[in-house]
Amino acid sequence: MQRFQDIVSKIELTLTATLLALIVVLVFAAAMSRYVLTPINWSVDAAQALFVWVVFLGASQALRRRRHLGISVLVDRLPNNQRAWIDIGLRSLIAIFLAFIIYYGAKLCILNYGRKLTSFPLSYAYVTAAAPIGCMLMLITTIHQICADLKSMYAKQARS
Amino acid sequence: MIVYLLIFLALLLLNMPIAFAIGIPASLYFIVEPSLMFPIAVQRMIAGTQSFPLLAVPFFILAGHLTNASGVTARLVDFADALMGHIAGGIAQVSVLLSVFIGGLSGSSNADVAMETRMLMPKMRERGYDDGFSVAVLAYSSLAVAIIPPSIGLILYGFVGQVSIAKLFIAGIIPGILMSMATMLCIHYLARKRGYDAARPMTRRSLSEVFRTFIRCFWALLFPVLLIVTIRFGIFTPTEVGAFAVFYVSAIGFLIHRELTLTKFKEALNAAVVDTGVIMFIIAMAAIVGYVLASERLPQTVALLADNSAAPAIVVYVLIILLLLIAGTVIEGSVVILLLTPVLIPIVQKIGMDAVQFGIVMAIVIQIGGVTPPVGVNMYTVCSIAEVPIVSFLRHSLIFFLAMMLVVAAVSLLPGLSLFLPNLLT
Repeated sequence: MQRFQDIVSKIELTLTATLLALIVVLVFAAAMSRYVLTPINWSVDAAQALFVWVVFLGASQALRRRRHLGISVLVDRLPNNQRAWIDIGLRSLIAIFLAFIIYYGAKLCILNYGRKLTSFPLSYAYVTAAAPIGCMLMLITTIHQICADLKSMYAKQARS
Repeated sequence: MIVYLLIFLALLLLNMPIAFAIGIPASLYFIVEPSLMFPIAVQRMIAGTQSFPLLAVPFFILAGHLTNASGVTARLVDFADALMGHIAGGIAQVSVLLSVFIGGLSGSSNADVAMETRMLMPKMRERGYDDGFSVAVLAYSSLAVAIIPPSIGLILYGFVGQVSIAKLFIAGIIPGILMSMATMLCIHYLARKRGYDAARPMTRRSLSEVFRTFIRCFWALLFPVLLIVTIRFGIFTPTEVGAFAVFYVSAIGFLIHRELTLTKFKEALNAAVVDTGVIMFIIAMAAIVGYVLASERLPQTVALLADNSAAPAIVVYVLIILLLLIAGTVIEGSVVILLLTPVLIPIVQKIGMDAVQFGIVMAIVIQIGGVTPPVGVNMYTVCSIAEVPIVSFLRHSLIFFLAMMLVVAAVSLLPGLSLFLPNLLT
């Protein structure tokens, strides 16, 4: 499982970084084309469509590294054991929330299939899909983290 | 409404990641309310990211990481040192000057304050400054980075409050410099009082050396000029300037300074991806809340409340500043901007304040929140890198805190400080 997650993470990071670089190029090209060549009107639309993928895949990447911001002042005062249980409780809540978004996000994709981007012959479903797919990756990470935390807690208990 | 607010606060205090602490109660509202459909929540989440002005956020984040990887900071330190290193408390003044220079390239202070601490803390120790004084200087001087354009906080404020980001950028110039000058005065006073650098008088650097160090960072110093000129003349939008900044800094790093490598470039991209994921995921979740607030007509209700209240405008205003200060000390600054801007703008407009002017005040107050306990991000960063206890940071920071509050008062009472430049330019 750990190896699977490592491989997925690597692909995800490379893909997201490439998309971000591409967005920079698209917006810069659109700005320059206004002055130099004929304006490229689709590039901003394309940049925005790609951006939603950077957002959700980047959020997944941040979740893997436990980098999402929180306020730890209060729980830092609790004993380790209690803190771990709170953490597992919160992660379960996150998992349920993500499952909701995946389900309704997938439904929304089907609904949006007919809608096209403003200046781009592409279905809006490819934009919408970023949410359920990003959240699916986050759900896998969350469940994996819950399992890993539980395992290490039981290992600690067995030792003491 | 209160129930959802309480769930949000409870999750927040239990150390739930902020994005989920916002998203979970907001979705709960969609499930409980029979008139709302859950797919709308998902749709708002996605729509919340589909904004051209918001693209400036990842661009300036990336440009900031690239700046740090391009050897720009070390050259700017040399130039600042040549200018001010010889006076009493010189290295502390260098830290302020460096923040002004970096402020013209970087959109947020978090990454830069770490870099500045690593570079300047050893030099400050060498000169025999108190550790507490040094960390206080590093943390407070970094605040101006987020006010001097570009500024990610102001992009978010402009996005949520529907205020011109170009105007906000230009409005931040004078207040940012004012903050730096206030910090410099405090340093000057303290350095004299404590006799820093008195034992070994140093000579002023020769003009040719100042010029030599200036040339080495010429291209980095040129960027803020280009930024203001292109935005002012409408050549680029702030988002396009962000994309331009990425190209510009890469060109400096690869071609001129030759310190940027492909590996460092990839690392900067990866770091920007994670930072973007963190901040934009919060924005996506906040978009659900925005929909809920709008459908409950909360901003209008709050404005009406302020309108009908007997409290004089000044009392309302001071309460707002206090609220921002407290919120800024507990929650990360960009989150405060995202959540409170739509509620606060109608109130200050009722008082007769300009939304651009208030944006600058809000950005400064929230930055101050970042260097005060319990959750000052910059404060923690500086103290942990310098290995100085928070207590000694706090003991030395009161005078700087007061100076910043004085700047807040000045920018609040004198609209010209923020509005003169944007009005002159448009």
